Amino acid sequence: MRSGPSMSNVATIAATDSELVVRARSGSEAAYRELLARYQRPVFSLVYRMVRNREQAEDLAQETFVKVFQNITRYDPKYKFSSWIFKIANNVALDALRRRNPVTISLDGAAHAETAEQVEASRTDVASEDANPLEALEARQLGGAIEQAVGTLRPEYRTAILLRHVEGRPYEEIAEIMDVPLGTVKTYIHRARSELRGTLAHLR
Amino acid sequence: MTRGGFVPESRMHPPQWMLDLFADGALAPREQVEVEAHVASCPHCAAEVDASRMVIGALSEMPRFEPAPGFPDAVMARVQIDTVPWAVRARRWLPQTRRGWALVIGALTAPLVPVVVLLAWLLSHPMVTVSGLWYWGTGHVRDTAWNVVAGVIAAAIERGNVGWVPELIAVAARIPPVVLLVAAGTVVALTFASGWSLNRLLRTPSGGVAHAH
Repeated sequence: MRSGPSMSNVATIAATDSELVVRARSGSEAAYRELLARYQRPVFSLVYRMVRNREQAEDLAQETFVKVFQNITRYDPKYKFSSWIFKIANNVALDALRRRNPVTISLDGAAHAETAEQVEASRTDVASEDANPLEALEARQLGGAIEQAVGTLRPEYRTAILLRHVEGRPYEEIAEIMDVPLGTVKTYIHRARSELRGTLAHLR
Repeated sequence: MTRGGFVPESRMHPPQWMLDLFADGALAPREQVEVEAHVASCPHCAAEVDASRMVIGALSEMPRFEPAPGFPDAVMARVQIDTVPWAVRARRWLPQTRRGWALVIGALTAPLVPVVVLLAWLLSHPMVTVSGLWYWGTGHVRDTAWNVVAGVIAAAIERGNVGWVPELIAVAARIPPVVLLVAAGTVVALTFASGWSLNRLLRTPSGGVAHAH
């Protein structure tokens, strides 16, 4: 007979992030795994949309979690755990973008492409026959108009807009994650949406 | 302009950034109400807000991506988690055998032996009483302690670092004479014990190897 979840598992699932961090600090592997389960998709999605390469995104998301877990004793509970992990993920992604070889082929086409036409002309069709169904689906999704438009944004605009509209984070938390003033976040998000409006209008 | 200086009068259009933030519900409540009133009567601004809302809607529908199935295990394999509870870690520092415990207890109590012997010797004299010894000891320790405190304060004043002196005085004044006596006794005892240990060490030939018989 299959037994249901144990009491400790139920308690782990019901625990808040802060409670999980406390347990993780005392060496509970279940707590680490629960934090992973909660944040692997948000962190991976953010990093993937920043670097737009699945393999690299997997590596960077792993690097994010390793950094978070190895420094969990330094986590300051007065901040939200989500802010802390997103801040690390964003920094990891930005570092990777800075290191990135300029000749890397982007899903969105040449890095220097400034207009929607240039983006479209230099865009790489990643939905090849060799890709597995999941990757093909993602490639199609990433190749969608909105994803394409997001891909053309400056990295800081991209972070702000993804945190706001994909992760649903309030402006104040985004300011905390990006380590910039609230007014700057509002500017980033407004400019990003304005650019997206323009890009989407061109692509239609 | 209104008093806040953000929303123009009804016939003037709010700036585009304001309409965009309005569409996202990111304005201050008062500004939100003012822009809403304007948008309700202005087709131009209503179209701007609709365009922003369309972008927001498209962004909000973007899905989250899933990492590879082995992602959690890959992360955990790279993380060194100390799963040993603190109690177990603390136990590693404690003696594991009776002999070890005996040594630890002996080391902790040894400094008291000379103190007890000294007290016993003093009390063996008919002129010395417990209360007299206590009075002499506490008085002596108190005088010594105050001399130390006064010396430290004088040194601090000379160096110009006196900010912490009032705190030190307050702390020193709260220490009961009994605690001072015990502290001083411990210091004396530890000094004796250190001297005795050093003497033993210096007399023991170094580099010797103990053989089992």
